[in-house]
Amino acid sequence: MDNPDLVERCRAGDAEAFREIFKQYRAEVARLVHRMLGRSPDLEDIVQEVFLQVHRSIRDFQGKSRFSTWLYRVTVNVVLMHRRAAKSRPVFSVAPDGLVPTDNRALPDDQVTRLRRGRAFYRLLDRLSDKKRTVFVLHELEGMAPSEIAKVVGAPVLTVRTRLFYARRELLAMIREEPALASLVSELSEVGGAEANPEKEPA
Amino acid sequence: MAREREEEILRRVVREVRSDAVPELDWDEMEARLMRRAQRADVVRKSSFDWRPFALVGLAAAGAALLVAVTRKPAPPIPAPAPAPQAKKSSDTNGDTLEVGSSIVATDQPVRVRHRDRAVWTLSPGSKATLLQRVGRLILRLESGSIHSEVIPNLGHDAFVVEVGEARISVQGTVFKVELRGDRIRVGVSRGAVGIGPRTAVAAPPVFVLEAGSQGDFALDGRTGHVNKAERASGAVHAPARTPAQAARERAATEPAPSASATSPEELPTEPSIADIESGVMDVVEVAGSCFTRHTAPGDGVEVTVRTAVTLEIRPEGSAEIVEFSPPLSPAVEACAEAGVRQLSFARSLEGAKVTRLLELKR
Repeated sequence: MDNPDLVERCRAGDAEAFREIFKQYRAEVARLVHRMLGRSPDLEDIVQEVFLQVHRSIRDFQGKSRFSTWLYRVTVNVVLMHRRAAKSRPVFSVAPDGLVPTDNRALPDDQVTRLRRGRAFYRLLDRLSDKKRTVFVLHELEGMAPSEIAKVVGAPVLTVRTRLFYARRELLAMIREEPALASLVSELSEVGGAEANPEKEPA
Repeated sequence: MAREREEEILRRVVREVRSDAVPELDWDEMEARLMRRAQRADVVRKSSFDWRPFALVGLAAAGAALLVAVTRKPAPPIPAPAPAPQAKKSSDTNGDTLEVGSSIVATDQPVRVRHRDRAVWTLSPGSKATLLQRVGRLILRLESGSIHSEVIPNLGHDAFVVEVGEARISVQGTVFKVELRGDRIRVGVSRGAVGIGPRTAVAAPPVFVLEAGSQGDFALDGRTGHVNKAERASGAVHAPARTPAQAARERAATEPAPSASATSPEELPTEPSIADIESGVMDVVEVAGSCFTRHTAPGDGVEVTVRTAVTLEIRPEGSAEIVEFSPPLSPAVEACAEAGVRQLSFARSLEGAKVTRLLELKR
């Protein structure tokens, strides 16, 4: 819930108001960052960077949109900057899932499988352009309407819908290339009822 | 059919990812760090010069000229002079918001006026100046007293011009002082080079050239006068006019100690001069660029560009350290740059300074 008074105090340089904004919105921001990046060791740093950016830029917030929309925009931009910066840094290569010596004893098999599917999903997302990736995450994972996304990304609603369409199309085309997801293909083939009843979880 | 299956897979994976809980974060710790960083950022914002975005590539871009007209006679027509703000104490005034025609009066304290990326000028107590032009060339008229100017070096252009009464003084990015004393104009140059000649002879070479450390005493017409050569200056009197680039090269060879002032060499400035800061910033840029190149893996024909804002703290004794890169660079690059910056030294000052510059690093 937006709190114009709180935002106004923060704009005026009230440190306590900024602290309150952090407390009020930190979970939302963390969730969005997590949805955009998947499991990332940088989650904490990025969330902090988002709020620092809010602190730097809140004077630019004119109140023309809802504060939460503006905050989403800041978050998306910080995540995209982080992704771009990460691409120019040396990274430790990630071994294919099958080769990761993870101690899975604490996790049931299906949870391990889910984790792998989640990683595979983000690998696919990584292959999308930033624009398509962003609208896909905001719509499919965050459940935002295209009109709302349009305000966050600063693009017309039609453009958002187009990006969404192509994002889905590209993802669908890539699904078979991911071994972790390919297993689902065969799983679903075996469980014929799954197509008829998508909500039913296969055994 | 296959398509429907893929769609179902996508739906399922999306559902799973949506239900994936956000990892637990240490909110208290994050809040504490965030508030500390926010507080630091506030301090930087309040104390740093207000010229943040300063693209490296465009460093040599400032294309202004400073014209200081000094006269004892009633001033030529000034467009709609605004009431003169009375300075109660020494403070920075944003020259970029001053209306043309504004008069500045320094009563019992000096008044500093800053024109972003161009110049800072200080009116001594009891002095008065009027802003005649702000866009393109910066033109000031010194009505009384003295004015001390620090002009950002602007190589590649005939960067600055000073008109004194009927005299014209061309200024290469420099630090100098103009004082109206009776019917004489005294000009002291502590850095760079200044040319003096008739105000009307805009295109002609100056009659006098003062170099760093020199002082001159001139008539209001700028045609006659004499120059006290500095020990280190050469050819200061009636030297042929030279190009700004030549003057800049010579300046590098003749530059006095950074704390030297045309009038009061024993006094330290409140903060390092613009020239000192910009020169140091260039060093920081070089260091950061070199570190970035050294510690960034080369891509396959892909150019990597990183933009970050670096905040630099210059201490009163002249040492400097990087406060932060925002957004941060890789730890290796930051550590390398910080080590390099610790080797740099700036001019001593009373309070030091904090500056923030936008860096663009390419590999």
